[in-house]
Amino acid sequence: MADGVLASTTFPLTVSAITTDIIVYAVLILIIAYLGILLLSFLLTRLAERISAHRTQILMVIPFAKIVIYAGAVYLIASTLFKPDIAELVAFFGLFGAILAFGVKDLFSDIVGGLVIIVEKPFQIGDKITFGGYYGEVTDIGIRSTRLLTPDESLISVPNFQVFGQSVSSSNAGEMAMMVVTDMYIDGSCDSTVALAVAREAAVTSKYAALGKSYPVVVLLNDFPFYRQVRVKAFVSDIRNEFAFKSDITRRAWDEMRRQGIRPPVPGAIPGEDR
Amino acid sequence: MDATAPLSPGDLLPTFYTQEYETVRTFIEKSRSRPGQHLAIVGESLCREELLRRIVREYQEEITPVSFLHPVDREYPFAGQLPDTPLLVISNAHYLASRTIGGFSSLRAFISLVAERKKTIISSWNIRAWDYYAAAVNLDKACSRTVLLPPVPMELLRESILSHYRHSVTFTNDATLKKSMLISSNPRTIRIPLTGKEVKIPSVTIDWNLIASVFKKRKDELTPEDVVFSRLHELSGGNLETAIALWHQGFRYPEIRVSGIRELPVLPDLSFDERFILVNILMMESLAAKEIARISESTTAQQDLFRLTNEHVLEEANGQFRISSLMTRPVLAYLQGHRMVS
Repeated sequence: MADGVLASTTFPLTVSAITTDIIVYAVLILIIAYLGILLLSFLLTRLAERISAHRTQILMVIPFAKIVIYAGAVYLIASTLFKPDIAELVAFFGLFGAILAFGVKDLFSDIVGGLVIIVEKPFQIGDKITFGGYYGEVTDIGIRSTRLLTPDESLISVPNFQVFGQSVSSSNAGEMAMMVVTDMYIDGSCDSTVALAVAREAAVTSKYAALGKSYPVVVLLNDFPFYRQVRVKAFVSDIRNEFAFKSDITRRAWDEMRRQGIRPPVPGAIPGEDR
Repeated sequence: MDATAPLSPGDLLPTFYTQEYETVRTFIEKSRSRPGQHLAIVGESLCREELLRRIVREYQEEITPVSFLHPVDREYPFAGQLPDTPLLVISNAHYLASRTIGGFSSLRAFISLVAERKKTIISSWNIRAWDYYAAAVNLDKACSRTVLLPPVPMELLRESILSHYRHSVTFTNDATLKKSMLISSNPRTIRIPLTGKEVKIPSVTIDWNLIASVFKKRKDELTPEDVVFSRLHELSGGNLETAIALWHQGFRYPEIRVSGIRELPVLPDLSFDERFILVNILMMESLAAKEIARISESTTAQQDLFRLTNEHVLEEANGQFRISSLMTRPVLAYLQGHRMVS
């Protein structure tokens, strides 16, 4: 009785003979899928640059589209090879999944990690993130890896499983504006009130600054034994100008501070002594 | 009246911003018993200055008007130069500061003057400059009362423009009507490559404009005049200067056609320095090339101004650059999209 039940639940898989036509068809499908992804990525990237306010949201469509297009391509090829009914298809993908899980588990982990990143959104394409000692802009969340563009234009590929499994810090969390911290160091004997006022004005007048109720500017003073640190916390209007903003604040603030008699700390000098 | 001449303050209707006008009058009346208050009028230039002009005309015996025409120099002893009268009206007060380090000294002197509570002050500000100064130096905290002028409503826009024409204007609705259904279903057939299979994908479209129109006047109840002014209002976003420019663009005396009111131009892609120049001109309303170069600290300011003028984004008159009337809205939307103005 039990044998009879087992016999009736097996799925006889109809496998077509692998002919040249099928191989050409499969290759063509993969090429079309690849070109389709390239075209879609190109168009969405261009669109994202035009509609700057929604850049990250538009770019996040790309990884979704990649998965859908590749899954469609695999389905089309599989359906030609096996001509399956639904039950066979479920059995095939079950078997395929098991093979993936045992044989290429790292790759499988990366794919699952990528899916989790897309759904959970700990960061998005266009975000500035810090991960494993690297800092940069997320340029792509792929099937297998996430790519970061560092400030010195190096492209770092991090397997999705690692990104998924470790702490990641996102500086802007999908927003286009981002807080930038700029530090300047002044001599301990200089007038810190003037320095703070100049530093604040350098931030609010910068062409890169985002200002408003959601984007406050904060200026802080830290006292150290031989110098003082002036810290400016202000929002840049576009994360891509982070370093230009920092540089703009520093250059303009120092030009004005020098005019107002504020000096940088001198190494080895004793505070309060004339130099 | 010259049909193509631009409107100017003084040409507008007496019904203009009645509520806001009354608020200012009440403020002046109250200031007699309680001096030392500050009222700020914030809005678009044409409406703002018209409101101020009416106030000055009504209270000319007690008011001393002061008007700034260009950014005040950072070394200008602001407070010492003001007339010694109890009620002061300062127009274009946004010129009291410029977006440079040290460029807020006159504005700070003004805020100190307000805090002294010796004079009653009515000041007028460009709305973008107001937002910026509020974020940069908390200017909004230095006001007893703020009168924010909203965009011009459609009826007022219609009255303001038509009050210029002694003879009747002919309105022609020659725009093509779009036939619309609330819900339409157009299944699309897609052929799967190489398999020869055809798949029908259901595509349902809902016309949201049609739903919105249920709550408005029906299209066939609108007169050509309604259509003209509704389009002018929609395109200009209630900015009177833009609406007037659009009107003049399409008006051929004595007729205006709906098709003559064209869409606003599209802004070309701009460099960061060009955007910053536009931010400053938008805030100040007009600036000289020398002032633009000083504020932007850019070595290419001259070239940027040339390009922006060439692209009809800016226009120059008497050495002052201003954003062309038709470009005000596209420029604002562009800069807001880049978070450079709020």
